[in-house]
Amino acid sequence: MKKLNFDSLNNIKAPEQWIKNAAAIPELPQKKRTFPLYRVAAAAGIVLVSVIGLLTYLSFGDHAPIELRDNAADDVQPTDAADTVTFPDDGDVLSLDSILPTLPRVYPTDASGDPVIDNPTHPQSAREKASVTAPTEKDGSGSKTVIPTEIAAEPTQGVPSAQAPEPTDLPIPTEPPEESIPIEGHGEVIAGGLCFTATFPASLIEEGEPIYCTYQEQGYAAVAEDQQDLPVQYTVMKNGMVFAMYEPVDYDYGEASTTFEYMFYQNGKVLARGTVTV
Amino acid sequence: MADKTFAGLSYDDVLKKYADTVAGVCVMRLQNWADAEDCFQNTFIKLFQKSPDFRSETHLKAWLIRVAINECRNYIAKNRRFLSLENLSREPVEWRDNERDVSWALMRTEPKYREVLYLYYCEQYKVAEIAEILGKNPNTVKTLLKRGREKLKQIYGGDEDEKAEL
Repeated sequence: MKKLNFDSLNNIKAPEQWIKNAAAIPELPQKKRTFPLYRVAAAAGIVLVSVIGLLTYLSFGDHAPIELRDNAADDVQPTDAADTVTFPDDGDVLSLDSILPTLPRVYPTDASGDPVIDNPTHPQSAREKASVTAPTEKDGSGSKTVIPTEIAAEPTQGVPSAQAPEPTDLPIPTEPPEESIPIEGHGEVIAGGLCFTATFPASLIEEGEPIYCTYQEQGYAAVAEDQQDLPVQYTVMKNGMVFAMYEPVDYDYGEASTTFEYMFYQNGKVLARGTVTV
Repeated sequence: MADKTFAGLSYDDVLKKYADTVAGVCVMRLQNWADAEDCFQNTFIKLFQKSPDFRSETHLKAWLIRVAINECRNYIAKNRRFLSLENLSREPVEWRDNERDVSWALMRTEPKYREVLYLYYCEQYKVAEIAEILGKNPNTVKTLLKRGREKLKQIYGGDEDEKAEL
């Protein structure tokens, strides 16, 4: 049997070339340990996003950027940029279109002399209706009334405010102003008596101040002063409109056709104008 | 250049003193001079680049052996699919006549026995030191030593030198 002498394994010598190559290791260019650029970029990005988020949060202050509200869709308000404001007609509030057709219009321009009701060809009627009556917009879901933004925001814009005198300084005017008015009245004969009526927005009047009416027969001067001093009966309706009515006192009109022009005014501001033929 | 010191030794001194040890580990493991040279160089490159703080020369030697073994393992793992083919073309380790039988027998043992046998008989390490270098349990090292000797005896067909008894 052979004997194993493990000491012979100690005679393994490293070749000289190995040692020379290993001795040259310190002279080799050492790779510099560089900090990875992507780590710097990632850290900078995180810091930047954090700072921007913090500044954005601080810029809001006490106001939350988003306010959670229930039924937010029901509280949509018109914006300044919107041309029209649309709201649904719930049926409880009467619109202009639903009221005005109930008041028959009488124009004296019929060739036969008979009263003309709702004459669409009347030039003044068409002009004033276009400026007062809110256009309607029909869609598949139902009727919706579209009111121009100007009227919705400032209903009194139709009458120039510069022309309206101070209510406390002006007495009852003897002659109503002659500026054009957007409201058209409707005269009618009720129970055999003459009656002047008109409907206009309540925002045109001042609460508590009397509304007066003046009228005249076509081709004649204005009626007597004492009749102008009589206040007009008017009612403010739920829809924000005012229904005014004036009955001339003891005015005796003959059998022949007579046309009256009248207007309602308050503090020198014309509220409505109309004609009636009896 | 080589201003670094390792356990009080300069780089050149370490190289001269432990070159044979590292070379023996690499050759025993890889059984190929060319591959062993790569691991040999890598071991000393790591020594110079990392420059660990060694407590003593013993610590330095153990570190070199451990790094050399790991380098050999990594080398085998990387070249596993090419190793068998390259071994055919490469010149095997040449031994002197009086070393050939033992070394040849040792090369034919499995690597796990070969490492333990080499460290125990050639590098004169104790079981605890081998366990620390290889990262294994001392009892495992003892078992590997015992089985390795039996394997070696079967391969070589001779009696062991009872120089070191477990």
